[in-house]
Amino acid sequence: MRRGRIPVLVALAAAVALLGGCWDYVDLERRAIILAVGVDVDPDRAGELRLSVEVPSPSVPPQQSMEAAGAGPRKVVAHATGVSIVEAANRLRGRLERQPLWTQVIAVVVGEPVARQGVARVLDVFMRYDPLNARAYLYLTDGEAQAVLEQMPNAQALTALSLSTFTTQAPFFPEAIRPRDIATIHRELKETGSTVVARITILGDRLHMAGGGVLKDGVLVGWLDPQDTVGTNWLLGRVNRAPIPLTCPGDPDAYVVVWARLTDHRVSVTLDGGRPRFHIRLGVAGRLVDMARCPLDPENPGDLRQLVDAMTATVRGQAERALMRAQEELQVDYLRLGEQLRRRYPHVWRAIDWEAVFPQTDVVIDVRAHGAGIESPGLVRWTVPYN
Amino acid sequence: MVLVSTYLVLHGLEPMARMFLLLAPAFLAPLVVLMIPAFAEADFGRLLPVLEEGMSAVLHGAWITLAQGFGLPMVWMVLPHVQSLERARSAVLVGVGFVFVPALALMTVTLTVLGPAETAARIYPTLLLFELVEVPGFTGFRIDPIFLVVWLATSFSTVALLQYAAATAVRRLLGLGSIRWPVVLIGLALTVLGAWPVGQLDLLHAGRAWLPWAVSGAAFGVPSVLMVMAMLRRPAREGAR
Repeated sequence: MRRGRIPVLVALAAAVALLGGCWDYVDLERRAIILAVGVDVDPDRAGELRLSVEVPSPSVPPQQSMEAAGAGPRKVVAHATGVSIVEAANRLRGRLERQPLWTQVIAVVVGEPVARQGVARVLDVFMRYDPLNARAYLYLTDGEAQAVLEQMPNAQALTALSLSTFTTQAPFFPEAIRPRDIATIHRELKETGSTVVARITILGDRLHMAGGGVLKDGVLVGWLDPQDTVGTNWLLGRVNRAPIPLTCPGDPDAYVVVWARLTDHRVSVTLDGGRPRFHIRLGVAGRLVDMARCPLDPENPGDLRQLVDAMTATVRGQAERALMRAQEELQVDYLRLGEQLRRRYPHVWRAIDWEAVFPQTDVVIDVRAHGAGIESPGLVRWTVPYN
Repeated sequence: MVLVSTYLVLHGLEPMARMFLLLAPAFLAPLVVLMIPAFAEADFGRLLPVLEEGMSAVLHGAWITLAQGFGLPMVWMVLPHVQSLERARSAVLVGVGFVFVPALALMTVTLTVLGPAETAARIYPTLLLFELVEVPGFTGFRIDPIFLVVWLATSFSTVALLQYAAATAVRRLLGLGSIRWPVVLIGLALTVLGAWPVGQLDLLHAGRAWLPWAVSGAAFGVPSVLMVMAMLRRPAREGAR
């Protein structure tokens, strides 16, 4: 070996000692993997927050079925308080027997009292402090967040997994605001000052996702009931597929259900005498999935026209109800109309007080059937001939 | 990183170029793969209104960005080594395209997903973008570590190239026969600077307060003065002849 290569070899051998990696690795068995976080007002200390966390029980794999899980506790719910959720989280170190791991948080539940004060104390930390997961889904609850975390789901091992599953159901369930991650909620609040957030409640002994909470400047100002939420989802274009129940045009006692999809969603704004005027165009199409006792024949063009008109009228009614809730009752633009105005006419946006203008703004909702509107009668051509 | 960079730079430009060519697909492939799912969240309406803050804001932003990068200083450093500008043209265009196209695509995705306000407010907006990406089959997994690995590779390339450029400049300045000692000394200086206790706030402040002026002065001011001096000396020399 040439003499000059010896120092190189020595240097490389020394470098190997530095390349071990993971010098601060903490074994999974020493970790408490926090999957859900709940934030409430501390009832005992004014101004402080109570942070609850859900940790899967170390002895039971979180994905294991209920039967296999046996009688042992499936999860641990711990809580601590502090003036900030960071302080409370750090205090949990003294209460959890493992080192908390925050990067895998799936869901964050915020109790109503905290939301009424404003969600900034929760969102700012998640956006600023990188060990926390800004991809966690945000839920509001009208009770205590801790109670949601302590709930023992029937079909899932953990509340976090139930909340995670709800996110996959929401695109087909327009009665609920689709759960979205903290970063998205934060971005919408920055862009428009208002947004809608998924709502979770405890109904009996089950978790229930329906409706939504309206945030204005980060503060919860009202709840949307399931009917308001259906129309809100149409107006926001957040419906993948949804059942549209409508009264049978041929028999007012019978119902027809169309399994519909949103084919078109356009929001345009024009100026009418200097005032903004919005036009929301929705396109819907679907297939019949229930026509029991409705005597109409979808193969008959006249009957089909009646069904399609009833479908579009139903969607228009749902959307108009949601618009009325936003404009007249809550007077909050969570429908993102102001954002369209800002993008299209920035000079007008700067000149007006949108908060004052929004409740009186003209909004035309135009629901159209895409193509034939009803694309398929399903697998049966005529209504079944019995009651 | 400085140790490996020093080792690489000591071997000259060709091994460096070959290594960078190996790193190029390792940089581009994950970037493209990660950007595609990010487009699912894109709203191109976020690019509107165009010039909302006026042209001066755009120029100021471009100036700040220019100062953060090493494009122009690198041109001045590499230019003396180029023997034929004609032959270098295609390589330069490929190099510019290699940087410009991914940067433009990345900036478009970042702006359309995060919006201009959030992009401006974040210290590392691209990192947030990749933190939020949902890749089918990896739902729930944070894939930003992949981006960090890519970032590390490009940072290494930058450090190595800057070390080489600085070493050759010192060699030319002092009239040395080899770049060996300049490379080692600059490696030591990089290590000291890397270990210097500088806070993130200091870096942020420097990036906005004096770095743009320093880079502008070094990249435009000094070459301009040299060019003017050369132009002034040329008539005097010609007169002397």
